Amino acid sequence: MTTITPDLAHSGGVPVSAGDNYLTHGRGIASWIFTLDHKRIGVMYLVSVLSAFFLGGIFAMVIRTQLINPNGAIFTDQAHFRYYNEMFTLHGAVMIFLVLIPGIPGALGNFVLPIMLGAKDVAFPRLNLGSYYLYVSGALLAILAIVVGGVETGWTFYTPYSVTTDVDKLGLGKHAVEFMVFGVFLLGFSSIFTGMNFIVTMHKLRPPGMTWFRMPLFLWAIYATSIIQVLATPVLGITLLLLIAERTLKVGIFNPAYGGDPVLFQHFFWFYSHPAVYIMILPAMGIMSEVIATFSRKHIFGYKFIALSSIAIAIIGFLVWGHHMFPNGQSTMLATIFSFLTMAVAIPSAIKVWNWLATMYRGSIDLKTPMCYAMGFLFLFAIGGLTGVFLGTLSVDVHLHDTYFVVAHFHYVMFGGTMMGFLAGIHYWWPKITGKMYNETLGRIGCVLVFIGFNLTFFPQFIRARTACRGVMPRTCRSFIRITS
Amino acid sequence: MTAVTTSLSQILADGGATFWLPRNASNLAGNVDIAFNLLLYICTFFFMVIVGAMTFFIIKYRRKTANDETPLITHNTPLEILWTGIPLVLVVVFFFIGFNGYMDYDTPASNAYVIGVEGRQWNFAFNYPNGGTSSELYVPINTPVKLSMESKDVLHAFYVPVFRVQRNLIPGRTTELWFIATKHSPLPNPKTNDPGGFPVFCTQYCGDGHSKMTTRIHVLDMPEFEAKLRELANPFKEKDPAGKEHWVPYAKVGQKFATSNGCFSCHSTDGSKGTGPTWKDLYKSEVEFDACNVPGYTLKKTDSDEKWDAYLRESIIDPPAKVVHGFTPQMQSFASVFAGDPGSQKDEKLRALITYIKSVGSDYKAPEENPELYDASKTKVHPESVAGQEEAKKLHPPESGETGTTQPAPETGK
Amino acid sequence: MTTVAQESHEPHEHGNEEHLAHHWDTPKQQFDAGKLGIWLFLTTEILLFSGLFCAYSVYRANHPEVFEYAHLYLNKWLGAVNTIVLIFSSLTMAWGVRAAQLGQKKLLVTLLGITLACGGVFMCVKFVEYKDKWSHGTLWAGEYHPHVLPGGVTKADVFGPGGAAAATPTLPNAPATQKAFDGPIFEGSTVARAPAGPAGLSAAWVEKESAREEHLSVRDTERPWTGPVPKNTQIFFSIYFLMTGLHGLHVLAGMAVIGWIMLRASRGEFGPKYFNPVDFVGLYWHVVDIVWIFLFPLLYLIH
Repeated sequence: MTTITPDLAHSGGVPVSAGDNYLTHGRGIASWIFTLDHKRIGVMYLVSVLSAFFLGGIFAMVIRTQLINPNGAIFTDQAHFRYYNEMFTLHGAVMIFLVLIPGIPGALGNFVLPIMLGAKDVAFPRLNLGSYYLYVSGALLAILAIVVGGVETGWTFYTPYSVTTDVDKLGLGKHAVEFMVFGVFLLGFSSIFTGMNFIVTMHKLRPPGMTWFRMPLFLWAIYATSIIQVLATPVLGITLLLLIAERTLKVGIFNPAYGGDPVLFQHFFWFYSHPAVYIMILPAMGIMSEVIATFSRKHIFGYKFIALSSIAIAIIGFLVWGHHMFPNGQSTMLATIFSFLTMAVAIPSAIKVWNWLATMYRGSIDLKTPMCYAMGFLFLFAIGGLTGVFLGTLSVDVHLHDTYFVVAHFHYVMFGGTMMGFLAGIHYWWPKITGKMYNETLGRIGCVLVFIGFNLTFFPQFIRARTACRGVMPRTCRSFIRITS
Repeated sequence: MTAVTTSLSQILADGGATFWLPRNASNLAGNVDIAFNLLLYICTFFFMVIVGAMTFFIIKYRRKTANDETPLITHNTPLEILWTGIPLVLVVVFFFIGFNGYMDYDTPASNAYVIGVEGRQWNFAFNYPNGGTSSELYVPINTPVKLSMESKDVLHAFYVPVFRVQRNLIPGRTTELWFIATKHSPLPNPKTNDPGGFPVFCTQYCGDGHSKMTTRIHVLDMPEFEAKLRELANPFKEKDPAGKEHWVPYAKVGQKFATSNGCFSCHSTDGSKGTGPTWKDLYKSEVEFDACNVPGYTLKKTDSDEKWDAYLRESIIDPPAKVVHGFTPQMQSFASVFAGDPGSQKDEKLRALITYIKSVGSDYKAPEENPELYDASKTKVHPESVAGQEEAKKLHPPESGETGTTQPAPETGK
Repeated sequence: MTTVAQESHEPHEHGNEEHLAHHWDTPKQQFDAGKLGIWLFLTTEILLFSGLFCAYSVYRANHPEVFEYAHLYLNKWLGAVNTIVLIFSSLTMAWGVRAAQLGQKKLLVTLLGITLACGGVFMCVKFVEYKDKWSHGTLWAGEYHPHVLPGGVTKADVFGPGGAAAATPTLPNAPATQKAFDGPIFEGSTVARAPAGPAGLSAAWVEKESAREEHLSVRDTERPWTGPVPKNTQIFFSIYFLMTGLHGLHVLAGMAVIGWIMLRASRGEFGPKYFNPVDFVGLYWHVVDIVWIFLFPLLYLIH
């Protein structure tokens, strides 16, 4: 355990004694739950996000356990398959909306952004706290949904299935899906407010001398993320409100039984949810830029290229949502344009990878835990990113769409990318957050276990599309050719 | 490792498949395989470059002393342009290859043979131009086939891995999928329980029975295909090995309809509980309702055949009208398949299905296999049809044994 | 590592700049940040509405006849009154911001009061319109059972004294739970309706509906609509209620915040040095106004 020396640069000019810091300054629960301090809010986010990660992990364990046996190890007949369907729906919804999206911006962004920028706090501290409580309310509503009925719509809430399906476990009416959808709506606004806060902070609270191209690359990544959060999430908001109206009032916009169009829902949903994957991955890329430069003891290579590639990803990311609908019968022209733009996203991602590698060139590389995670990120994200090119290629996507290949690709990007980056960031900033050093050996062991375990779980899924389709494993097959895109 | 060894053993068992892709059996598969393999080689190469460079740097430039000095390198614009340019050229190439294959997939041959596909929770039904229906798809080999698909309830997808094609079924829209099957499908083998054909999957999550929403495609030579079509179009008639046509009992015809309309994805016939009530001993049992459109309606063992028939009929045409205790109104109406005026083909189909449901009960008396009565070359109408019964009444006036029927009228004993 | 004390959120740190939060250097910086923040928020509001505008565009492009027919149910004069009321309230709001900047407390409170009243008038007119729809059965798709045709024509006018029941015999194969007349007219899809809905939908049902169309088309030429009644008119009302409903909620939220700054204004909190909330609420109110300015022609004035 190493004690970190007090960082007077961030004391805001207020003279403080050596033992006084943000953790010890106020005591008691109230000093935390009403805090306007971005660092405490960041820590609260960190705790909540990691709890949600644990919950989502339990759901994942149930899924994997069920699939040990081709006929289903836990739920063995159709009457119980809905519980399996609930598990993968909840795994998806919890991991996406409660972990990946708010994770890095909410926890690490909140903590380090003002510090890195040299600001005293984020622009709107009260909004920041409000955003955290919207997150908590959204999470509670999701848990309520699980308790009152369980949600088995798939995390994409595709209509018309999501309009009709529901169960009522407690006799409170069939409203589980509404609770879940409204919870996600609140989480969306939590995300919007965080994004707004960060954008304004970076525009208006940069101290003199901190020009745009002097900002740390993590902040550029967060800036790009915030743009997506502010511009894409409201569309998810209205989509979810419409879905609630569809279920409660039966407005028919997305329901073909009333003359509506289910494909419109998919367009709305993916207009948010595709940019959302960049909300998830961009901050992790920002952490990579910090960690690799630090532990290679080198100036980051191609600073401006990395910074602008984040913005490029954010912008192009808005124009590719249609690739989730290639086999939907959308017009050939649309499919062509979306495929081309999807390919275009690969370029800025590739630029980042090359620049990170070039940063390591002639460096002094120290494989401390964050750097181990960063190397894991490079390995896994390379696979995740390159398989994304397969899926962007029109004719190949027609074959691979909605199969395990997509599931594997997505996990390589989201876990192999975002979560590895998040873990790198947690270790990297752990001393800054807690004032204590973690155990280096245990940290490295953890990293190696995560890396090996992840590959053992997900690499076989790339070839499952080939093997399970023989029809010899009906139950495993069912889950493998599943939803998602 | 198990997964890898399993897949390796399966490759050995399945000729024509590669490590990554199943076998290739349509005109469109070639395009996809070329694109996939090209991507695979190029992407593997770049993966090796990235991971190789990373590993090499980690080893070569590992920190030697705590005070290592490193050079200050900020950027190198030609290098940036190079590694932006190369991926750009590559993705443009990938795009065009993919686009090329997609255009083939998206442009059905104008002379394609059209087969209708209906998706329901949780089965597919195929409608052939001659009026035949089936639950597994039969297609002729080396002939362009276009599937005209629609969903009757929620989103589904039709995915044939060996053909490398996939298209969603969307309620309220018609989507199309075409292909030319280029290889014969494996023949069914009852001994090993192998259903034969190529597998088809629904890839769009559609509810509890999604995993069961699979079917098979049988690729046949044209003459066999035509024979199959004739058989499918006339479920009421059958040819025995001697080539003599005879009528098929309604209970057996009804079973065919139950299969082709996917009834068994929710209703069992062995008493096990599914999404809907089991049909085993359903007829003339005690039924309780959670929801009912007629106040005070009850259905008992002792109720008349007519009442029971009316109930079964309504439950197929308008399922939410009466909901059996312990179940939810999930079933969609089958009116488009079965609702017709008495004596019409749709109505006869419905009567056959109802007869089948009765036949799963313990006290069902099967009609006698009267070869005379069931000889299709002699009697113009099916002995169990409305018209057939009218005729039988004329031939054998009052109570004489109308054994060839299970219709309510003759079964007076109950 | 040490940090700014939380107590520093207290205003006294900056001496007489009583509204300046601790992390800002100057009031101008705080004002600029707030302005950027409110603009970003308004962007998200516009994007929230954009989903509905997008749905409107898709359905109108696919089925222009539905919109041309169904908009005749709306009273364009009431819509026009509401438009004028809202535009006027935007004037008083903008003037109010000016008054706040000049420190004219009484004028500010009066102008905010007028703005608030305009919001109230808008909502009352909206209530009258909704009540009208309610009584005519022209609600969103799930509750769409129109008793009248556009222009107040009743079913009896079209079908004679027997009403619809006499004119449209019950369908022989129609499922028992279907209503013969009052359901919406569906197109194409034979998807069964949600179990809780009125009924499943068979092919026979759709055929009968086309017969009903002919009935309705035999009408006086004086009536506003002389062609056949288009299918899927319920979608128009769904969109109408969603758009005006979401807008109405925004008007209510706007009224609440205007009420709040009115209270603060009456306490004399605003002046040349600090008028940020008035400015920001003003911007919000203008956006609510602008959304209505698009809604009015899109829903009421279709040709």
